[in-house]
Amino acid sequence: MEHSGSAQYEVCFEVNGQQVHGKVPPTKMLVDFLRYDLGLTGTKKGCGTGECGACTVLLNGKPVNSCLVPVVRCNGSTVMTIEGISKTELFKRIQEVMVQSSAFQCGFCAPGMMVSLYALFVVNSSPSEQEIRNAISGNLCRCSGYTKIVDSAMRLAKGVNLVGSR
Amino acid sequence: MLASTRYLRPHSLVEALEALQAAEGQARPLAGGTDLLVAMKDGQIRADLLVDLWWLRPPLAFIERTESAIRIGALTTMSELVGSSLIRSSVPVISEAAAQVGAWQTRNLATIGGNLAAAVPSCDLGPPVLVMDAKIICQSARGHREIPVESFFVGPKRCALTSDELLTAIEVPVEASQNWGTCFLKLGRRKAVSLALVNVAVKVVLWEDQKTVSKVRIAAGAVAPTPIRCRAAEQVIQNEGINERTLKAAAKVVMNEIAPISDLRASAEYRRQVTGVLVERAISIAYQRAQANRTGHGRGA
Repeated sequence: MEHSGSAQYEVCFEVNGQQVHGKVPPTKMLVDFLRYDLGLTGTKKGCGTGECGACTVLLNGKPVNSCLVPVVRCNGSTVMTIEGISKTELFKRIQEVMVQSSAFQCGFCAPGMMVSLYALFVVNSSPSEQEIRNAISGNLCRCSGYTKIVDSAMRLAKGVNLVGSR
Repeated sequence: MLASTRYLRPHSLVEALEALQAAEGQARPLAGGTDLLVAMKDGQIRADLLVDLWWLRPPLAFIERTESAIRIGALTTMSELVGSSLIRSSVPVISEAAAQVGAWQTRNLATIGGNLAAAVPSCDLGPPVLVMDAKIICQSARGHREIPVESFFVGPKRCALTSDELLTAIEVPVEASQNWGTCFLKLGRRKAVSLALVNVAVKVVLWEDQKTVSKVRIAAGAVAPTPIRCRAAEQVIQNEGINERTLKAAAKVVMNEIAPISDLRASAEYRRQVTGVLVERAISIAYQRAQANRTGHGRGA
């Protein structure tokens, strides 16, 4: 049935392994629900138009711009944010190489960038440089020039055996 | 304003079509949202009602092969096209283009139907469907129809769909010949998250001798009010084959048959020059792929 923009829609979905419930206007975007309704402020808002990637989360395992996903679409789905993936072993290995090289500067792009890198390593434990660059092509970084981020990801791709570690 | 737009979650295609018909032009179908939601947030587009097609991914997202065609559901995402071995082997120009739309995140949301129906002159799937002689399948509460792709694009951000119609599938005829190749090239201001300032698609079909051209299709986007077939350039190749001289001749001809404008991404003159370069390059690559007897396998830049 039709609803007006301000009417509330019940949603129920999984965020970082936990069921969440909410009542949202149908035009509320996932990024705002995560940040304001759930207090998960790790996901950042950079542009609101799907061009910077600061709001990247995993929706059913796939990286998406949460600023362009109406929350109502998430009903029955699985969402992972930076808060969720940062508890995994895989994340800690990616984080370690980034920290070793001081890959991030201001850190604003980092949550989105790490979600994209995590999503890459989950499906590809040994990506090439081009595959790494493609994976983060939707994550803008204004500080670093991407060099250390890519180099660190490549060191990880060549070095540590990630099979079986999540 | 986006916040005051009404929203419908349709439980069936019929429900969506009836809602579009009842709204008498005041409703917009929502697919991936990577274009429409941005325009609505910006106030550029206003709609009384959003009909959210994401809930219709079964049945509107599919990639299948029939005896005579490859059929692609309108709600198939760019990522699904790139990941499909059927598309990569049978319609690689589509996966090559889909791989260059936006970025990974965009491609997980953006759909082929949305890309075509939004009819932005630089839409990356425009030239590919033109060179593949696709049919655009649409449905409404009044029935369904097939629009040949060369009639589909009408003007900037305008396509042949009526306000109560939904693009539901794209049908690409299976190429009978074994010896064909395709190529899609796009130039943006950067390598990702960029609208094309020029994009080009080419299909070359050869006779069994794998040298003589039996059919050629050339299409360009972002250099006219819609993506267009470059028929004069096609004639050069059709009549004279492919060699260094004819490539240069085709490039020169194409530069005169397009109508680029200057905008924030590039000047008309630059677009004109680049189209010539990309057409020459794309014909050359499509030809090599045709000769290699592989159907233009490739994923783009």
